[in-house]
Amino acid sequence: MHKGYLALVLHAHLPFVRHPEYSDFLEEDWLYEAITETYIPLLLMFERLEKDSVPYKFTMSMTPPLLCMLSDDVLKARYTRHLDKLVELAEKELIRTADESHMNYLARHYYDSYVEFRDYWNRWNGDLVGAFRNILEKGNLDIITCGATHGYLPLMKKTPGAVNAQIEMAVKTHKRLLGQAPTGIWLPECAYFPGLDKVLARHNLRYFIVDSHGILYSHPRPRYKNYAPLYCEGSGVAAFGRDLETSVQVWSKESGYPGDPMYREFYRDIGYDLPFEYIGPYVQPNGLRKNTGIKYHRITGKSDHKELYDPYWAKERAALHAGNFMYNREKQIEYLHGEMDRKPVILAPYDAELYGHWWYEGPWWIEFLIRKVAYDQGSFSLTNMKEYLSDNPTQQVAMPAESSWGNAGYHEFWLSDSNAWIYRHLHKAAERMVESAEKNPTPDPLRERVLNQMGRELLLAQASDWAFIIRSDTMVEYAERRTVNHIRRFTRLYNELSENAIDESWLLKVEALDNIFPDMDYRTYLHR
Amino acid sequence: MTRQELDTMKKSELLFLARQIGMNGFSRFTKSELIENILSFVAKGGELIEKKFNDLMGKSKKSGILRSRMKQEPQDEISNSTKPSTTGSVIPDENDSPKTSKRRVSSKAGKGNKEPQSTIDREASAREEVEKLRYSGTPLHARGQLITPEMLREIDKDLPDLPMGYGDGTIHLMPRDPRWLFCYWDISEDTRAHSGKYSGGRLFLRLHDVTHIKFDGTNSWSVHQFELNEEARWWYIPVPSEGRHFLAELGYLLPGGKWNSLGNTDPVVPPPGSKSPWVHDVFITLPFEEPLPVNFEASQTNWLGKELPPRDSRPEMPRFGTPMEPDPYFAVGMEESSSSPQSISSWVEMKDEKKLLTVFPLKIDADLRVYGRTLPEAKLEINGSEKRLEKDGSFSFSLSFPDGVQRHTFKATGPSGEIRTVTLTFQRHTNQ
Repeated sequence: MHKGYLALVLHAHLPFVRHPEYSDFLEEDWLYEAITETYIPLLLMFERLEKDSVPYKFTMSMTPPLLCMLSDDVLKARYTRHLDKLVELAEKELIRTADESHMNYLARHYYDSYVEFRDYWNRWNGDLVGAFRNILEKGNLDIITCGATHGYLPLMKKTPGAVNAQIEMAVKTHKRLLGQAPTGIWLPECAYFPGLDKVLARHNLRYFIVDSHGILYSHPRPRYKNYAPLYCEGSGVAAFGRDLETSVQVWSKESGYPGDPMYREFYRDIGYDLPFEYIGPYVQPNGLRKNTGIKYHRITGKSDHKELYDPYWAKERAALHAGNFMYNREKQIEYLHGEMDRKPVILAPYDAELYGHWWYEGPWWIEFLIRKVAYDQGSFSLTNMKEYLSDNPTQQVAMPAESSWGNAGYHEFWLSDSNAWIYRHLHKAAERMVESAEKNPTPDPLRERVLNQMGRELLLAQASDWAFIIRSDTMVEYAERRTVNHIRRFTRLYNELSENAIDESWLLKVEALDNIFPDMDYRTYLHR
Repeated sequence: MTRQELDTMKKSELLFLARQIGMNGFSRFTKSELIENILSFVAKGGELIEKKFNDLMGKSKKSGILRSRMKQEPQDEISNSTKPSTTGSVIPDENDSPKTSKRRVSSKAGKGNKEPQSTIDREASAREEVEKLRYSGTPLHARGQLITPEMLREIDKDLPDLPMGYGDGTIHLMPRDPRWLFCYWDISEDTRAHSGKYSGGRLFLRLHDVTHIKFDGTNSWSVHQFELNEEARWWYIPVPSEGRHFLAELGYLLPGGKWNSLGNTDPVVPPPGSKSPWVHDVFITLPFEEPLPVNFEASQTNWLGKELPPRDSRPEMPRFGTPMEPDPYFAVGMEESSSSPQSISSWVEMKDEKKLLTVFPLKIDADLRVYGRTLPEAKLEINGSEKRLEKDGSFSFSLSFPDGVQRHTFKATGPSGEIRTVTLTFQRHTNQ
C-alpha cells in the first residue's frame, strides 16, 4: 500500500533569443544545445515510457519564450542546419578516431545519438511543441506555464497591470501552442508575494511552487510543513513547497549525483581540444572556439587528468543513483507517513536544462527512476500537482511567505548593486504602458499595433534572465544590451504614440525582430 | 582612411572619441558599430567635426594624449560615488555593497577610466566578427513588405540612451529580504531647488513604521532617518523589526528644523525571515474540478466562511530595544548618534499615544535598554557575562524587564587591568 507521493517537476526555460539580423549568433546556441541535449532526449524518454505503458506521472513547466522559440520558423531552420553540422562532425570523428578503439567507440556513441535525434527532428518536422503536445495528451505528463517572459514578479508589483500581463499572456500562449489551458504555474524563479495568488486565480491557475521557506514561514504555521500544499488565504490557489532533501541530492556540489567520477566531464569538449584546422568549421565563424557537445572524457577526479568516458558504465551508475534516490524517498515517505495523519507529497523541482546539457546522464537517471518507482517498490507513487489536488482536495489555509528560490531565498540576486538600476526604467515603462492603454480604449489599427508592440518590448525587457546574467557576471554586455534596447524601443513607440507621429516603417522592423506573442493584446495592462 | 586606425583603438578610447566629437546614444554599441558610426558621423558632420576628429586622432597617434586626457575628463555619465556625508554606508554583505546610488554605467565601466574587462572585450570582438556575416536564410516578409535582415540591424541606431532618471517625483520602496529594504527615487532638480536644497536643507530618507496606521506625515510609530548626499539615487535600508509595515519618506530638513517632505512610498511588509508565531489550523475542501469560490472583481469577502487571524491582529508597540536581530545601527540611541561615527540612524521621535492600544486585547510588556561607552580596548561584562563592544567602545543592550527588582552590574576591565564597576537597579510593578 502506498504511503505518499513524489512529484517530479522539470522547469524548461530559455530567454527569448532570436537574431534573424545576423547569420550566426552565439547566444542562440543556448536553444540549440538545450534541444539536442535536453528536450529531444526527454521527448524520446516520454515516448519510450508511453510505448511500454509504464505507469508514471510527471510535470514540466515550459515557459512562453521557450514555446515561442520552438515554434519559430527562423530558429527551426537554423537548428536543422546546426544538427546537420553536428552529424557531419560526428561522422568525421568516426574517421579521425578509426585507429583508437575507445575514442572510436565514443565517436560511434555520439554519431548514433545525433542520427537518432535527427530522425526524431525530421519525424516531427521540427515541431517539438507538437511532440510535447502529443505526450501531454496521453495524460501522464502535465505541462504548466510560467511568466510570459519569466519576469520577476515581486519586483514588478508596483504596476499590477504588468503582473497581470505576465500571467495572462503566458496562459494565452500556452493555450495557443499546447492546445489546452494550463492548470498551474511555475512562478519565475519561484518568486512569490502575498496577493500574487489572486492574479493566478483570475486566470484559472490553481497551483504554484515556492521554495521550502515560502511554506515553512507561512502565516499561520503550516501543519504539515512542506509535505502538503497550502491553499492561499484569499484565493484558494494551492502553494506547493520544494523539498530540500531531494534537491540537495541532485544539486549539491559535494554530495550531488552529477559529480560522480564516472559521469561525463562537461569542460572537455573537442571544440576546444582539437586543432583549429580540423574543428574550425564547427566552432564560431569568427574563429573563436565553443562547445560542440562532443566530449570524450569523464569527471575522473579533481585533478586535470581525465580518463576517457564510457557511456556504458555511466549508464550503470545512473541506474545505481536512481535506485539510491528511490530508496531515500521510500525511507523519507515512510517516516513522514508515520508522523502525519495523511500521505505526504514530496515535491522535487529542478531546472530542466540541468538534465542532459549539464548532467549528461540526467535523462537516463530520470528514466531509471520512473521505471524503478513503477516496478521496484510499493511505498510511494509518482504524481503531478493536478492529480494530487484532485485526489486530496482538503488542505490547510494560510498565506505563504514572500520568497524565491534564488540565492539567500529572497530577491537579493535580482536586486543588487549590479542590476538594481534596471527597475526604475522597467517601472517607468510599465507605468507608461498602463497610461497608454488607458488613454487608447479604441485605437485605430496602426495605433493598436504600436500599443501591442509596446507590450512585447516591455515583456521582453522584464525577463528575469537579464538581471540574473548581469548579477552573475557572465555575458553581461548581452544582457544589459537586451534590457536597455527593449526599453529604448518601447520608449520610442511610446513617444510616437503620444505625439501621434508613428513611423510605420520602423514599427514594421521592430515587429519583425521582436515577434514574440503574435496574439498580444495590450488591454491586459488595464487590469488592476 | 582611418578605419584601420580606429580598429587599433580600444573600445573605451572610441567611446571617449565619440563623446568628444558630439555623438549621442552610442554607449551600447559594439566596437564595430561604434567605428561605423564614428566614420559616418564624421563624414556627414562637416568641417568642424572633421577637424576636431583629426585633431583628436593626431594626438592619439602621436603621444597617446587621447588616452591620458580621457582619464582626466570628468565623466558626466557616471554618478558621483561619494559616500553620503553622514557616516557610513549600509552594507548587507560583502559581495554586494549598496553604498550609495550607483548608476548602471558605473557598474559596467568602473569609474569610467578603466578598460572593460578582457572577457567582455573578447565577447565584443567575437560579436563584431559575427556581424560581418550576412544572414543567409529566406527574406522576412511583414505585412506585405520585404524586410531585409540588415534593416533589422539598424533598428536601435538613432535611439537615445536611457536617461539618468525621469524627474517624475517617484519614490519607491521594495523589500529585498527580511533584513533589507531597497528604496529608489527620481526627484527633479527643480523640485529639489524648491524644497530647500539651496537654503541649507539636508536631504534625509526616513523610514516610518506605519503598522495599522494611515500615514498622515506625523503619526508613525517610529522613524529612522538616514542623511543622504545629493547624488544618492537609491538606498538600502535595514529593517528594524519583523512583521511590521514600513514606508519611506524623502525630504529636506531645513536649518530651522522645518521638514520639507518630497513625498513618501506606499507601505510594504518585509518578507518573514522566521516561522510564524501563529498556530491556527484551518482546513477547507476545494474540489479541483470546480472553479474557485471567489469573485475577484468584488472587494474582498470572507470567502472561506471561517475566521483566520489577520496577519497583524495584535496592535503592538514597536519594541525598540529588541530589533529582530540586534544590530549595531539600531542599538545606538539618539544621544549617542551625533558623536558616534558608527551610527547612521537616529531616533527622531517615538509616539505612544496611539489609540490602537485601547483596542482589545491589551498586551503590554517592557524591555530594558541600557547603553553606554567605555574604552574600545576594554572588556565589558554584564552580570558576569562578557559583551561585545562597538568599535568606538560604545555598547547598547536590551535586557528583559519583568516585574520585581532588577539589579544589573556592569564591569569594565581596562587595558592595564584596572576595573570599574557600575550597578543599576530598577523596579517594575504592574497594576492590572
